Amino acid sequence: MSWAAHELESYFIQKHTTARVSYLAILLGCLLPDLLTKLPVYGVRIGSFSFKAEVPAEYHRGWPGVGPTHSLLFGVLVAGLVLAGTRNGAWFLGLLLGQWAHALTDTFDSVGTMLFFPFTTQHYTTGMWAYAAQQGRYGDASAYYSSLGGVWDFFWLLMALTGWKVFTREFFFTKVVPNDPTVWGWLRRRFGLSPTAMVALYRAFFVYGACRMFAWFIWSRTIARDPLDWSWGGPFWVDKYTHPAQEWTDFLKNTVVGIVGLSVALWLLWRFVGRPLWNRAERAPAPTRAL
Amino acid sequence: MPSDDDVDPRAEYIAYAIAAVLLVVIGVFVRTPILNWIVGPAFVVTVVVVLTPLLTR
Repeated sequence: MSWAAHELESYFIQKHTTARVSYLAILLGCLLPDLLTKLPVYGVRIGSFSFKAEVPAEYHRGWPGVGPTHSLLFGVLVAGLVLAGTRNGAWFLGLLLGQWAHALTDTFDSVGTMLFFPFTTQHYTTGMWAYAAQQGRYGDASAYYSSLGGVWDFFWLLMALTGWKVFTREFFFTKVVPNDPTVWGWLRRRFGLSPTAMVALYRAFFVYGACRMFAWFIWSRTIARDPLDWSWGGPFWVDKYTHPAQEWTDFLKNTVVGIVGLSVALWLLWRFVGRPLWNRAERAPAPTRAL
Repeated sequence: MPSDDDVDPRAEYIAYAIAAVLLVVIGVFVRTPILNWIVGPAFVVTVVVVLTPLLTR
């Protein structure tokens, strides 16, 4: 799984999306697949109640399990429900882009994601770094920041920084807020936020994402003292979780079924549900209580 | 664009730098209790909002 990349890619998407899109929705979409599903992966204890997945990778990315949260159709359904409930096209697009970015980003670890679920349970993975959630939170952190996973996070930090204008006050007040005036306006009124506080709230996940990268990297080098291994599929010292190798013919067959199934489902959803909702959202009156 | 809240941009940058350094240093030792997606961003916002007016003065 990816760590800071999920926060950092939200700014990259905001910067490069020309359509009207809500930043808060992008961020929520980027966090959504792991938002409530990660706790049982590492184990959660509330009072006398505790729950930990028997096989974290299968629970997190597989089926049966919560693996469908990392599929492309999940993003469409969640964003569609929000569009139906709010008539807000900027939130629909933001959630969709954010969730898809998360699902695609997680294809780089050794387990990958079921992108075309429910049409196939085929996992798509490049195996760039080891999936190691079964080692617990700290074991996972150390494995990730000792492997190409940490490099992947650094890549997204650079990608976010190449669009540095996205972090300016001017960008925030001329693009981010006008794209989503209802929610930013509500936050400002509800919590009495100053412009400085609003900008800080917007930038917070960038600072947090960058800082957690460096903090975990330093921790794994100086306190955990695990060796760095930037080889493909590393680090070598962790017992990584992966699926058995399969025949190319099975892979191709599953992929064709997945692409065709998803394409047909998306067309039907758009034809009979999405387009009416989208047209209704487009005709919805502009928010009157902007900042 | 709304009028600025009389903030010195340099003070704001220093506040962000302090927040970042604190988050990394504390994060190395405290780890998950601060390096999670709720406390981490809240820590950044709190430090910036508290320190920026103080440094502006």
